[in-house]
Amino acid sequence: MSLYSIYVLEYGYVPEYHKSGLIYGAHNEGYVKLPYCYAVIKGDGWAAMVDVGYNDADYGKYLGDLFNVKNWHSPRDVLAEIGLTPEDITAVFVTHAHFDHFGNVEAFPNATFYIQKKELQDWIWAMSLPDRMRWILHGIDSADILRGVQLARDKRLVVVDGPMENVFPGIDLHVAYDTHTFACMWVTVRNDGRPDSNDSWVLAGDLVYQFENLKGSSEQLKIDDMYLPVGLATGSQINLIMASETMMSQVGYEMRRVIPVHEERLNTAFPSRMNGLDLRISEICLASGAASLVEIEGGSSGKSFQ
Amino acid sequence: MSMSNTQIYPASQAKPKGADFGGKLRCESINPAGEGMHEASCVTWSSKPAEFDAIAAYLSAIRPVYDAAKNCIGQLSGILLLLQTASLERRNELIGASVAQQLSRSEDLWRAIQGPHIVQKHRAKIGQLLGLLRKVLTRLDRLESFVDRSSPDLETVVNALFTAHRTLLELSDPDRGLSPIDFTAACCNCRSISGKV
Repeated sequence: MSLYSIYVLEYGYVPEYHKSGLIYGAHNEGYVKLPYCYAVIKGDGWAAMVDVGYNDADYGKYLGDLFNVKNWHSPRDVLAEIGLTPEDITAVFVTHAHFDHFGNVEAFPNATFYIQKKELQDWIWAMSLPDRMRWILHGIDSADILRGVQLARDKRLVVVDGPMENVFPGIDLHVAYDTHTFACMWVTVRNDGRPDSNDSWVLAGDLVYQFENLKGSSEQLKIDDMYLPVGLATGSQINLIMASETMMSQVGYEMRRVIPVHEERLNTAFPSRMNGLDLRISEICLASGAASLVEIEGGSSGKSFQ
Repeated sequence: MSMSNTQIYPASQAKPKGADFGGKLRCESINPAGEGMHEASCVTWSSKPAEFDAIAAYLSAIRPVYDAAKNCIGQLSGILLLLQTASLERRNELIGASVAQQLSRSEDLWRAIQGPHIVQKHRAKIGQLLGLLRKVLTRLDRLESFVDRSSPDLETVVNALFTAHRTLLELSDPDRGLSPIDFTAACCNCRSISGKV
């Protein structure tokens, strides 16, 4: 019995992103395609998202252009491909406060947003630091915090302090402090609903960018199976490694079950197809009785994952 | 992004359509037909190099003021956010003091920066922004009146902060460092090889 279907939906991409930004120490290793995605958890008459992307208007448009984001499409267009509208989304788990994850809250008028307390507190604190320490503040849009006030006034913001089990049946929120950001959240879906689940999926946010973050290699050390931190972290690489270990332990060390949303090769691990917008839909798992939305001619089976 | 008539663009780079340059318009981009030449009507041709230097000096000088205003918007919003979600703690109360300090410093700096005639509209609007933030800060003296989500005081302050943020966007010139989101020192600030910038 599986409670939820999970999808990773691409909403835009950077065609050539420097690999060293994704994998710690991957200097001079060239560029890879970086998809911008969010995840959807779809249950019986209920749908939630992990992150909301950014709004490609006004300053969002400027940022999108700055980072060379191509083929951005609105949540309305992207969600339609799996039969949902933004109005159908009733919960959003915000993994962290960067603009490309928390920058489009206005598109989801019926959703309650969950974000870690320390993530907000520390960003607000960091804004009081001298200009010479501005590096800490990168990627934060003060407008997102302002929009958060509006969400709070509408009683649509839940500030989570640490881990939270069963925020919805079988869905747990976990936090990795001082990693990619001050309090990066990940979402664990125990799809059989059992406390000692044998069917868990981890939606890792930016704690894991690519498969190599979980199965990295070092030519010098002659090692081909170790955790490598993401290339961009405000906090500690040690904490990132420890978070990777916790996530992997939650899925019985079955790496495929930790989902990196910025990974272009998700289609090698999961049934996937390109939608009419030339954006990828990956079907991570299906709820009991749900029909596949990707198994069509031209789709990939996701069986080439090693 | 929406560009306003308070932005200033030294003529060394092409800028969005209609950018106001001291009352004159710059052309949207270098004229493709002219192979790298600005259009004949572009203000570029009638501007003096010395003026560009003065504008650049002004933008460099005003940047700390702009950044402080940006941070103050975030912090003032943050205080309200933490208050609304019952997350305001003792150490967060110090944020108010930090905002006051940043604002005072910025007001002093702003008064000391004059700049050439062409930037006065921009400078005046920065002054208005600081004034608005000062008013918000003053109203936050009594935090307890903002706990109630339906409080008219809260409504007023939130509206003022949204106005302040809109003003900040109007004053932005990311290519000159006046950017609402700071990526200047971030790893992700590296440009992709096929990037536009």
